Amino acid sequence: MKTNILKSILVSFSLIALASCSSDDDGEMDNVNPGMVTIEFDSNFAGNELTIGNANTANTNGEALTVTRFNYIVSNIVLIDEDGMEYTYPKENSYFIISEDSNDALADNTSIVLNDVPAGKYTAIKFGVGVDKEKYDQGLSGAGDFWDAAQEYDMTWSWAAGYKYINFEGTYTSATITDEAYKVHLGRASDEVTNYTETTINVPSGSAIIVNEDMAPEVHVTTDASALLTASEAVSLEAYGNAIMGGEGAVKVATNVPLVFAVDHVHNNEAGNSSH
Amino acid sequence: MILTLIGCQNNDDDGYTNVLVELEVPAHFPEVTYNLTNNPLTKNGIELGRKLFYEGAVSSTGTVSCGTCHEQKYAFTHHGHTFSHGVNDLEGTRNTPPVQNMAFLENFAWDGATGHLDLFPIIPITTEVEMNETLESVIEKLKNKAGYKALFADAFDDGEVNSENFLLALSQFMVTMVSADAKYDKYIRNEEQLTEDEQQGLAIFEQKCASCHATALFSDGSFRNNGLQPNPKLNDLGRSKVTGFEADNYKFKVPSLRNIAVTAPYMHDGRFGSLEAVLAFYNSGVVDSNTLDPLLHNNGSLGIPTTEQERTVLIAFLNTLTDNTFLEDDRFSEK
Ligand code: HEC
Ligand code: HEC
Repeated sequence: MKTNILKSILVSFSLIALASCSSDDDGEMDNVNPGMVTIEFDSNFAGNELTIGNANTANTNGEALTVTRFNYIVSNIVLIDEDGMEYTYPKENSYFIISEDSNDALADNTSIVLNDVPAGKYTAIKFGVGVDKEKYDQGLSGAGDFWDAAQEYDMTWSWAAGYKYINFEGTYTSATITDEAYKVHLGRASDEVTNYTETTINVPSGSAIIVNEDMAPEVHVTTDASALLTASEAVSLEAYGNAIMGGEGAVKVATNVPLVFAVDHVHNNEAGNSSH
Repeated sequence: MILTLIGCQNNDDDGYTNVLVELEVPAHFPEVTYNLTNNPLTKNGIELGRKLFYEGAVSSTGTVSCGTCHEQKYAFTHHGHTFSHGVNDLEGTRNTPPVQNMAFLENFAWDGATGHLDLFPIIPITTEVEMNETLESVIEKLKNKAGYKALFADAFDDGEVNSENFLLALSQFMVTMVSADAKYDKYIRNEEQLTEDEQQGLAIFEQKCASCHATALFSDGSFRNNGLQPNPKLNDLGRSKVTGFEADNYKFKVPSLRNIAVTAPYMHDGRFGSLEAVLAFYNSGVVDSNTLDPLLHNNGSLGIPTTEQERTVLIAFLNTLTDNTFLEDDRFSEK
């Protein structure tokens, strides 16, 4: 990480935060002793720290990337407890921008704070990367602040009006190419090819995210930027002319996206203390 | 009369008074695609949208408004311009399509650059050759321009001058721009008869054109390659510019044919100056390619063959799609 000043922007779609609790099977979960949960996104590159602006070793496609910008939209967060019950964070508050950027004017955002989460022992997190069709179809109604924030982070498109889900930019060197600029922008291509993906990641076995009014757990999620181009589909930047902004390349990157994330560890801090 | 005011008053402590407006959907039209629940039409919202549509401050030079390119008497197209002219008279590469019946479309722009009307205005505002602005700076300008604070306050609950309300107001206005009162519509409503020629034209149209130019909108909303020879200078790939798929090369949104008699020039690049030229193209100018629509590829013959007599009556029919009520409706005019 470029900096450990963990600044978060929680971009709300609405001024009224409705804490809704639901479960799969037996109706409503009561929201007693709710607590807060912090999710930190620690970026890495194939297991090593991702340093914005520094070269990484060549990936399995034979391309060595220097990343100058890595930002993405995390959305629709669901916490799953040990019994498989799901708590869906209120959708209107569930869109976040995670960002690390060589542009110093843009604050790094690497953590998300969820408030009023029902007490419980959660063992998995589910979330989306990007903007789902339902949200897209709502257009600008209720999206004002989020749209503005997305624009600030260059996560909107003007030629294909909508959101960019991922900006992954920098330069790369291969056997045949030296320090060529590359851009990977993931976004909606059409109603059929939305490129929006969801992933469910488990906390390490034996561990849990313990939520109640006395606790302030921090969940450390690792994001392997390298895996965007290698996780299951091999995506060579050279093969796509250094720019992937749609088409087959984007679909392949979208296939890799859910595999990029993992829960590394959880700190079950008491409220008022925090550690890393 | 397309809009009816329903007597629902919204009156709060700030003196915010607004009246909900119901969109009256013509019986022979497909369903509304725009989500009116998320952005309910109000009298003040529509009125603000109309003002913004004709507001030059939306462009970097302060002189180009949406209405500059989308002129009412030409069904909100840029009549006589092959390509749209924006700020500093820079030329775009696409012909300006009409803004009409937007409430019923799934995708916007020739290539479907966006699937949501709210997001559409971001494209012209931020395009260098169109309005060359940023949304943020447009909002700043509006905040400092007399009158707008009050207009936004009257139009929206939260009353803010911000990008959300700006775009919602523009959508409200565009959603009300329904064209459904042409001679053809009167014929459908049994209010008027078509002439012999017009009727023959309709029959040929249904047989040869309506598979793509479908429904009362005269478009099925799909993206297709109708066989235009690509202009090598522009090489506009159309739909694939958005999706990135080669299979979408040279496909463009099937345009509505409403008010077609007043919207020359024709096609995404405005290459044809008359309807005669369009029909001559379908008759003998269609060019084969990997993505040519299969409907234009019949047992080795290309295009849509028509006789001269058929072309004459087809044009007579197309002329029945001109809706003077819409073209002269002062609810849509600059005033
Ligand atoms: C410089 C001329 C110009 C200006 C100014 C302009 N437009 Fe357009 N408009 C166009 C062109 C050209 C297209 C087709 C764009 C494309 O297909 O890439 C278009 C397309 C549209 C469409 C989509 C129509 C359809 O059938 O898909 C809408 C809606 C629209 N404009 C609204 C607006 C609004 C609202 C504004 C003001 C914020 C505006 N336009 C300003 C030229 C212009
Ligand atoms: C295979 C589908 C298809 C069929 C069949 C078809 N069209 Fe089209 N039409 C299109 C498409 C797609 C375009 C836009 C092409 C472009 O600009 O690249 C278009 C454009 C047009 C335009 C120009 C509209 C404008 O606003 O610029 C006219 C007029 C037209 N068609 C009339 C007809 C008539 C009349 C027939 C029957 C003889 C017909 N079309 C049959 C697909 C079709």
